[in-house]
Amino acid sequence: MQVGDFLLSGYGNLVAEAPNGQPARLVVDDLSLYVNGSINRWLNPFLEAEISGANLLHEGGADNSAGRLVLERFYDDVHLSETNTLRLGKILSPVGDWNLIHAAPLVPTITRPLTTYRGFAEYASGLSWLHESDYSGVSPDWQIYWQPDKELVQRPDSVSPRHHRDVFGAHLNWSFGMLDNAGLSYQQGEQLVTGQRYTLGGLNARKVVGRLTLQGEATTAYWSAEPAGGRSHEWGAFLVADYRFTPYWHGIVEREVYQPHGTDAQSRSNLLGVAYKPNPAVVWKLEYVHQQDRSREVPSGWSASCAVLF
Amino acid sequence: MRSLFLLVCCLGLARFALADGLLVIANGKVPEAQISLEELMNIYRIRKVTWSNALAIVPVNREASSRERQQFSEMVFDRSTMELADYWNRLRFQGKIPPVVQNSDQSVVGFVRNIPGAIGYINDTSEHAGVKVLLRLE
Repeated sequence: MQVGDFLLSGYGNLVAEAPNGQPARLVVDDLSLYVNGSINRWLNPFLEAEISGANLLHEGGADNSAGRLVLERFYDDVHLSETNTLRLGKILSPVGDWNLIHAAPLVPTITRPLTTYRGFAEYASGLSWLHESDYSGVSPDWQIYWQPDKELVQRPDSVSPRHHRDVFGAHLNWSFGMLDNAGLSYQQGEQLVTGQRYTLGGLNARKVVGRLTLQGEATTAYWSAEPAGGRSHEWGAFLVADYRFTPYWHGIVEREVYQPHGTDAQSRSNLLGVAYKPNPAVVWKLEYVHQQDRSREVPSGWSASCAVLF
Repeated sequence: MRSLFLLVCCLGLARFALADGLLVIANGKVPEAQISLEELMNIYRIRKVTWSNALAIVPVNREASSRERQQFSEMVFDRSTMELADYWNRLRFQGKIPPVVQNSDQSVVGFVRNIPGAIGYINDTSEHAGVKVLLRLE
């Protein structure tokens, strides 16, 4: 909805989860609103706020959280030229593709791969410089960003238990046509509470071949020494295949392996799902995850969701 | 076999004969007299955002269910309407403003006529007084 110089939009995502051996629940996973202003060269504000994790039903009635209000993004874009933009404020860190475009109606699965958020700062509050390449697609777009201190309006621990400071990073993205791309990411920072520093590298790619969309990301990170002398190397990778059987019905297969730092407990998960997209703004999904290892973050079980863009 | 071949050819020609072309139209303050197909693609990819006189480009789409939108998606990008809608939805989530949607050719012409920097597309048989034609798509 356009209101003067501002575009109001957002999305909602209703999720039903039934993890094996744990209570089932029905939750408003996200109810997100974004406001996008385009006023002049200097003033182009963007705000995204959301209600996250509001339980509507919980098996056994153990947890009826009303959800949390979270400031996801709040920044202003200064257009230095047609191809260069200075961004000031809180942004999504450009590590891979999924973290930048994680809205439920725009991603293929309900269960978010650990690789796309677990081992780095998902947000950066500070300065960012974005460059868009010429139109040929040969040279990459790039973005560098710096968060000198803590996250602006830190998310509650119930939403994200890990917070970071002193974050610096860069991302290169090559676009091939409208739908295919490949990227490289770098990020370094410090985790609050533990004081551990990390250095992360990543790559991502997306390729559409006829009815098949392949999308994958991989990260590797080295962390400063664990207090108890545990594992300092963290890494992960996933590949998801999305096959469009008809204009509306999709079949989805995903495989992910993730090794967190500080523990030997690995996550090795397989996902099988279907999605129904009656129009570009509505997606129904049903999926089953099979966890082969000991990870509690991605348990085996069923999930179903309805996501709507507005 | 020969009859079957002729039938297929006739059906193919009939399909093209039934499909009208599209006119790419722009506001009178746009300095360009014509644009290339590549420039048009970059405008609708929101990669090219200003005209040569620094006027902001305001691209306009027809609604997703329209025949003109389907033709435009296939003729310019060789993609389906759904695939392009996904692309624009992703851009919107990244803080970029996707093309404005108008629900008829008359609305597109009215919008383009009144908004400096606006560019849109209409069926080539539609009335388009007060706007300039930058490109013909056939």
